[in-house]
Amino acid sequence: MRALCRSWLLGIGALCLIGSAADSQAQTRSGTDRPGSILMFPKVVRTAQRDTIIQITNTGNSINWVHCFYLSAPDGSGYCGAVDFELVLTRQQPTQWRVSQGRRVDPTDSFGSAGAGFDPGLVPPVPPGFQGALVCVEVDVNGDPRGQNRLKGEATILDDENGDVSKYSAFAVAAVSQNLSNPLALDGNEYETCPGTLTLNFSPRGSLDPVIEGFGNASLNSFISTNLTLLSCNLDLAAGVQSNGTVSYVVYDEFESPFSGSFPHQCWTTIDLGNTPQTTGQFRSTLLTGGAIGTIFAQAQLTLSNGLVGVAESFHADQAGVVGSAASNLHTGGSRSATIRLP
Amino acid sequence: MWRCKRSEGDMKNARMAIRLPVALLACGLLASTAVGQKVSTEEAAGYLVFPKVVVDVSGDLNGVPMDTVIRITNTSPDATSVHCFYVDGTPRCTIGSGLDGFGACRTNDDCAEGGICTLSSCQATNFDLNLTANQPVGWRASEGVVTTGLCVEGTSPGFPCTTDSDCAGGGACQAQDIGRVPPLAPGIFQGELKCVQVEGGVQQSVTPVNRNDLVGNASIYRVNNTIVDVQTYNAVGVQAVSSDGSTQNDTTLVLGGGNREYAGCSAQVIVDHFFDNARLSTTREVTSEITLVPCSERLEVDDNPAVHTLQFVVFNEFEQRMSASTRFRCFREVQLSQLDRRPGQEAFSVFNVGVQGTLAGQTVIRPVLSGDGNPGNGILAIVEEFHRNPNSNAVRSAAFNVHLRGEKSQTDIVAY
Repeated sequence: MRALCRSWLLGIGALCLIGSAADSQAQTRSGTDRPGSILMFPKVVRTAQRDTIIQITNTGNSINWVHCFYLSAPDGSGYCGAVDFELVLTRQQPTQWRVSQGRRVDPTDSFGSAGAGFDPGLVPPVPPGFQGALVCVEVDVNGDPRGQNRLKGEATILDDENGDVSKYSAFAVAAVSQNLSNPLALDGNEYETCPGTLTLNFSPRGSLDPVIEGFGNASLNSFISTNLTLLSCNLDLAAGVQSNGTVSYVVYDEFESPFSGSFPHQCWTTIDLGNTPQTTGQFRSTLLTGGAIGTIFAQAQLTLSNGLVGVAESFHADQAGVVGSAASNLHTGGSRSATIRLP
Repeated sequence: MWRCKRSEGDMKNARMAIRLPVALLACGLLASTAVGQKVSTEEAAGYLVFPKVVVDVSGDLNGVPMDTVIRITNTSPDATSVHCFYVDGTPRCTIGSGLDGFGACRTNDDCAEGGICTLSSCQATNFDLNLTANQPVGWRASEGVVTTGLCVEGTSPGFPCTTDSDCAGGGACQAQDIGRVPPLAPGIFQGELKCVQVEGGVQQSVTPVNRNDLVGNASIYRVNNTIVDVQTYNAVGVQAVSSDGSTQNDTTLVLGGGNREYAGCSAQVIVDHFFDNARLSTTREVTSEITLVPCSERLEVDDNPAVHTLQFVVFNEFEQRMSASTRFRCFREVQLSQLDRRPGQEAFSVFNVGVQGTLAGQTVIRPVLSGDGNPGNGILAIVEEFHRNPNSNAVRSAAFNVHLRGEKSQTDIVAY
């Protein structure tokens, strides 16, 4: 009987431990501030003026194979294509490259140069005019998905014309199972789910910037605009098929007035808020024709049926056209299941 | 053992009937305290920390005026009240009026002869906000909120006002009273902002409530007639364990541990960065500054803030590992290569490209238990990157949030 009693207590204890372990696993949720197994950089640009530096780090103590995809969705093409490459990161290794140049495998790179360090693999450059996203997945040596939750990353967007810089963190989706397969199921069983709602704190297009008005060259002629870039969590990286959908949004100004609307979204969308037919009233200041928002501070809550991640970039201009930009990760809430299909 | 023996017989079933649900309930409670709540820079929370707020309207620190725009949003369809604290982490001269006439300084050289530039206390100033459903609010930290309305129409919509005459271009002043926020100007302010979702109501109770409705971010500006430099980071949100709307028992926030009211701070902070003085191109050289604040803090009454010790492990792209350590009190803003070297000796730092040889690095920061009676040793941080053109000396910057890993076993306490 004593043994029975002990086993009963041990059983409860074991249940507690299992539950507690499951909970700590539940705490490793997806986000931009935790390492994960799938990295999503929603905004990667290479234009005549702007370039992007990608940083990816293996935060673990063993080697990590990574399969990456540059994804682009030219307007009207009906295509969501991807170019892939592979990385091998040794333990705790950080790496970086400029997307216009990629990264060569060259052990003779000089000390302190852009290619110095263990080359993680051959990273192709993106073509001029590229605008899209980068998705990287932890895999094993055979290329099959593997969930170690050791990847983190940042993107630094450089303006080589005026020297400006903005930076955001990649969204990392954590694996919750070791039994992973292609397609990747972001359903809470294999990988964590994607956010169901994104919250954007922003200033409507055309708003006066209170600080530039205070210190800068403005005289009620400063100008704030915001570019929003969204990446669907439902991705077919094998066939490049677009996942058509609609992003619904509700905007609240400081008077708590709600404004709602929607805009179409394929796998990847970048949009100058307040400067498109679907966002004119709801994201535009009353200072501009057609604008409905009469306050400087506003929030927008965006939803897509199968989940999305995003990044916002705000541009603050004085009356002489001097511009400063800042990128920020969006706030997230809720959850949506999605699928990523690898080749 | 006697309990087990006595469990035989008729009493056994009755006792089991009591024990089982009690044990399962205890197990469930233990589990429920940990389910999903976390310290996060993107999810709504009941306790927000803005690690860096800077105001320098005269440009005394680096020649260009600086200000911070704070944004806080209530993501809930219900109104809420918020109790906030500015914590002043500005180093000040023991002798002399410093850079701004109020004693603010960067080094001893900014003080009168014999004076020392030091952070001796972390004075907190509190204020309250009342947010309606889904309301976003924002303000310039230098000006605070001292008005009761916002301009509509006219040529300055959204600007703060008290009467119609405050609004340019024939605008009207529409009532919008979120509370009063003290202005941080004149003078230099460097510090943090902490905000707790509280009961509020008619009594303006500042007792925390179990809700997770707040998100926020801060934009730090460097602006003059020829420069516009803006950087934005997300506030760190610490989620309440329960979000049932109930009022807590006291004004002490327990972060992590067995009796947690809020999620625990992370065991490690991970920073991806470029090594200082890395050349990204012929026109771009990078340095980074990290701002550190403690998870534990005695707000309003902290005359002798605890000392926190941190260990840094730095990896370069060759997988080489180096280490450093530092100590700080309630607030520290420091260039990475001055964490282990004095100003002027940065070239010999483990955070310098000249030592590491690669552009990118990873630094893992681990708070060390000091054993000196600290209530806790968790930390929060943000990092700023400064890109300088070596030819023109023009500087542009970007801020970003750090990564968090694991959860400390030790409790952190925030008391006010």
